[in-house]
Amino acid sequence: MSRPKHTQRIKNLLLAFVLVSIGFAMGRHSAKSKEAELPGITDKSVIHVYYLHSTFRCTACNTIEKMTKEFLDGNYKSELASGRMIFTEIDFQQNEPTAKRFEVVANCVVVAAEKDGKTVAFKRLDEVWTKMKTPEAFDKYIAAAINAMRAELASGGQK
Amino acid sequence: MSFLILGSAIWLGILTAISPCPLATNIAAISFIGRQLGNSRGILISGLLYTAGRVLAYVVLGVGITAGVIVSGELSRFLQLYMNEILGPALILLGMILLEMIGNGVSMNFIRTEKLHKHAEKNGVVLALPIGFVFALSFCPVSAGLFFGALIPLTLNNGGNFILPLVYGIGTALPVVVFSFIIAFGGEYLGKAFHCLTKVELWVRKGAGVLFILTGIYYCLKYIYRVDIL
Repeated sequence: MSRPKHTQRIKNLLLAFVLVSIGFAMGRHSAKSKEAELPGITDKSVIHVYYLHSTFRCTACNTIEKMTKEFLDGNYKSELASGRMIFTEIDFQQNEPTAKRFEVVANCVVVAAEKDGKTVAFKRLDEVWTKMKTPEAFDKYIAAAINAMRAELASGGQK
Repeated sequence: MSFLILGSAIWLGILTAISPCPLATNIAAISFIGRQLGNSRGILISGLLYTAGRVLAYVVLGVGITAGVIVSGELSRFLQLYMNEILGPALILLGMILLEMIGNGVSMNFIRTEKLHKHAEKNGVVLALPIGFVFALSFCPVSAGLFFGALIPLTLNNGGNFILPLVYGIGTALPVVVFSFIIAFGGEYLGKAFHCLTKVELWVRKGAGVLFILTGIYYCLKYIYRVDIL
């Protein structure tokens, strides 16, 4: 006798949880999302390295960010200290303008050449997912993008 | 198209399936396919339909993007934002159906119970196709990175047809289907060895429903309520 009652209670609880969850999700999406301010806007030429991630971070996502930071800290220390290079991490699901600007498809690294606060060129590095298994290839991949963006800035950002 | 390219596509698929990110849905899928102990035909059909569902999702996306019909970035961000939110409540409801908590409203006296049961079982196998399709579309960071960031560029560089998304889809389903077979046949062997096959069968069936509900609650907490778990 008590078993069906118990099942009925669980059933009602689960249905209530489903309904509340649907309502909660709909409510959050209907709220107007705030446009986040873009960090790192400067009045000079900079190489801006972004790590763009979704709201939920997976282990591999954190590894990609850590590898990127370590590579920059180890190889571009003076540029980072002088402000000629900036590293920023952004949640692209909370920052639609940045996601659109870099045509983001998934968590990735973007290396951008910025002048007077404006992006003059950028390279989106989607292959970080496949290159993360070989740190050497990963570092080379980022270095090549940084060099390409330096060349952009040297040529005056005319593209 | 060389074997190396095809090998890369299937490897990207396997890499997606074995990464921890889609683990929750993979466990739910394994329990769903492998729940039919002693019914090798049912497991085989479920496994094939689950694979077909995944393949269909990736081929539709792959062909749409490479043909320029769908904008890769917009679609990827949309799926990553909304699909996981839809998945939570859907999984709970599906688990409740598997546990026969809901969906028995049509059970009337003039319908023979065993006939209804057989019908439900048949439909249960067919469910593997939409489950595969929806699970494939619920992109987590790893699957989005590997599909949109690696497979789509590979497809575009190799003629842009449907073959690579198809091979990738098979790769994403392969580990799940293999594990389902191992669990189903392992469970059957254990049940026979200890003369309790009916009991094991019942628990495995119920286990699938419970796992769907738990996975659904996990998805709701993580993607709707944004609770920082695992």
